[in-house]
Amino acid sequence: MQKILAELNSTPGILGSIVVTDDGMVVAADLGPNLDQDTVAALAANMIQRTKRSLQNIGETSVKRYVLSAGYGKLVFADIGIAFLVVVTNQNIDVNHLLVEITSAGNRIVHRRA
Amino acid sequence: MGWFALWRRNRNLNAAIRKARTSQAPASIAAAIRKLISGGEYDKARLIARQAVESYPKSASIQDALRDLKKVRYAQEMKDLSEKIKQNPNPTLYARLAEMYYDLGETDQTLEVCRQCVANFPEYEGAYTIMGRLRHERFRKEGLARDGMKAVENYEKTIRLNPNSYKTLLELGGLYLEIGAIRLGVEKLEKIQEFDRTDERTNKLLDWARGQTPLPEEDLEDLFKIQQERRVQIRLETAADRIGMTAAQVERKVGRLEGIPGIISVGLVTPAGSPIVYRIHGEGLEEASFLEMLSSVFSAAQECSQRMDIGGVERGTITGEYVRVHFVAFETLALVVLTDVQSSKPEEVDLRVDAFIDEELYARGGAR
Repeated sequence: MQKILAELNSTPGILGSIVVTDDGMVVAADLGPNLDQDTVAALAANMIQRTKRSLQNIGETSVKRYVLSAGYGKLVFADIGIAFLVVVTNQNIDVNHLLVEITSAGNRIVHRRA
Repeated sequence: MGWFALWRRNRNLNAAIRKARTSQAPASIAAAIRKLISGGEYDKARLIARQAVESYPKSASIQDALRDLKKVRYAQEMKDLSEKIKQNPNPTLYARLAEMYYDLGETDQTLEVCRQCVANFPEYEGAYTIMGRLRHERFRKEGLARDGMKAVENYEKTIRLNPNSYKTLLELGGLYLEIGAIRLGVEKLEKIQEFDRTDERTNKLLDWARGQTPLPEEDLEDLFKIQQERRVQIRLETAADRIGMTAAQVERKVGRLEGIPGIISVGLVTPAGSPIVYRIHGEGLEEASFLEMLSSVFSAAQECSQRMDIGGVERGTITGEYVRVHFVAFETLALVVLTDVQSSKPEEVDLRVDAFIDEELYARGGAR
């Protein structure tokens, strides 16, 4: 799994990636030097939980993907079944291209586990 | 640790203390507090944090640093409590853990621990009290009717289990008076007088309440809704003023988003997620749940991106099995659009929302 994350991170613009369960347990991580694993995992889990809960209230059953663009970077959360693949990028990355890479990495992670 | 590393560590910490003492900027003081925390100097960090809170009670960076300090302080005890709950659960362990989450401002975790406590020990009043307090606080902050109703529900349960709970009677009585349910408020406050006739706060509230004319009917749901509408109207007027329009113009313009394919609902929110204007187009979507979603989704995104140090949120898309949430921030506000996954394309919705912000909301004067 570590290898898949490292390959994903070789995409220009990706700063790091982590596989985290929605209760904050880190399954695998390959984050750059400027990203603290515990902080990213805790924040990601908090956001996944809050978002899931508020969407459940309006009748939604799952959160498949979350793309967030901020002033200095982007965050993408993709549900890969066992957990969420969370990717941190710089702000200039093309989201559509990024989503292709993330989907491919997510599939490889799932099939490795299977 | 070698002597050089130790010397360097102490030098850095002393520099942090000096900086905190001489700095006038809350952000620098917060950075110094964090440096002390990471150096393990908790007492010094606490002392400086306490002084900083007195000088800058409303500074977000100081509050954040203070929360980090509490987190470190609570970490071991929270871990121990969770472990004890797993092995041998009892209601006071749950209550202590919930109080800690509450103190850290972690609302969802607090509610979760309380829910577990209630599921295992439904006759324990402590969890209802904490949930009531939390909902009450959220009602004061956001003004959402659902929070108010939940606060009442939990406070009433506390009182049913402990009829002499002074604090809860006072809080609930005050909340009833605040929304105009005079009769209910007086009823709760008079209960305090049954065991304490000298309490000044109770007597003051009762004096005020007895001077008011009670409504013929006190329907709590209606009264909380009136409060919610008032708060939304105030926010709308402030926001409209900020973008150079009248409240009516903003409302009319937001209504024009109806044309987006697959649209279910739309809302304009403040950075904290408080609703300003909202419209529900789809059928079967409950207003209270939609407002809660509006309030939670944008503020969670904002908190996450700021804490991850990637700046303020500009836009986001959340895709579920059936619905998709789009949000775009502009002029310190955010527009949140909920669409049906089946009948909308995300790129198209984004384009329509961008065009709407540029052409409608930025086209000041509201002549359109």
